[in-house]
Amino acid sequence: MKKFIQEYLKIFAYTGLGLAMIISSFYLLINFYHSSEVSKVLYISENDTNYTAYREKLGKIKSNLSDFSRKTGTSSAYKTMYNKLTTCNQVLNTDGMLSQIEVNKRYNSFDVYNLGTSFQANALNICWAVQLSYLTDPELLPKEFEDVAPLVTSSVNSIASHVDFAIDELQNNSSYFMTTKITSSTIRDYLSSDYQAIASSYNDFADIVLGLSEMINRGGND
Amino acid sequence: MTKILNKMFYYIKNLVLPFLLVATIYIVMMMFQRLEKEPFGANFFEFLGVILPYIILIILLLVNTFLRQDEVRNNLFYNIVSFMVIMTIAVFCYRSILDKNMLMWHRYKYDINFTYFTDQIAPLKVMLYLLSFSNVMLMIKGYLNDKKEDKKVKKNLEVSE
Repeated sequence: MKKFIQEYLKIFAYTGLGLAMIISSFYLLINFYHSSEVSKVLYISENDTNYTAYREKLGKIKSNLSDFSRKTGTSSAYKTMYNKLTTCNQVLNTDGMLSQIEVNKRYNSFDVYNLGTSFQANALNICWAVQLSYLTDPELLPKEFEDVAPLVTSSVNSIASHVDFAIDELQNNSSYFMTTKITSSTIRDYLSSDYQAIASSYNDFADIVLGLSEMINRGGND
Repeated sequence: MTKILNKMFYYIKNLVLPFLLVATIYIVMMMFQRLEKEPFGANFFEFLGVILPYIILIILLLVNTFLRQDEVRNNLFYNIVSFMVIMTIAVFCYRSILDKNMLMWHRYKYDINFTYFTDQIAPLKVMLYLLSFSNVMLMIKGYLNDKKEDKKVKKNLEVSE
């Protein structure tokens, strides 16, 4: 009887140890994999297309606004828009935005995350929500911008959701679960694609500001 | 060689376990502070739930050491698995406190990644409880072995007399 009990005790003990070994091996391996995934960095060179295109667009916006400021006899709607776009131009050039980043440098997930939050704080919260959102209000909308206002609004909404998605995806790098198909997205390295999404949102937003600056410049003379 | 490995794993795990307990208490205390919970008040049992497997294992380690439980102390497989579990928990604590590549580390402003650590609490508990369970099983087995050997010695003594 004693031998029988001893055998069973041995079986239970080694089953427990086996399970502990399996669990610890799994977590050790998954941690090394996850650690290597989240530690990947992104190299942004001075020739990075998103960076150069964004700076080029900011240059064009600046020159359009400068041209408009020299004009006389422009309508008040255009003047209002000019003032708002001037603020936007300043905001798009502030520290932390894509145009101000240090190039030829490696960026980790936190840097790219900051680039996204900076876009939300400056471009969306100040330039769009404070300055340009009057385009969404039918009572305040000047007739000169009636045609473009819906297009601008839908574009900004789309850009905002892209940036939101990229930021959420970056934040997901802080945890992982079992690698099922559904949750495996949380363990992969999405740094490069999230950077592309955020940087192209910068460019899309600059395109909107550029379009408006060209519009007031073209139709600025009454 | 087996003896050297056995002793090495045995002493490393015994030395590292108290440090891991301290690190875990630190992380959990910070987590409770952030959530405005009281570890020694209303949320004591929640706090105890994380610490208890460590306490049980440390008590068992002390029993193994002072009551000379050779069935456990000289079991190479037990010592290797214990070492692996301790290393896994060390990785959990290390990454929670020092892995700055995970974004939540920056967002909580506590210099600890609570999201990551919360995910690890369940496996941490399971592994420690499994070690304690196996330890108890091996101790009982050793106790029964000792009794058997005592009887054998007694019988041999009677025969020789």
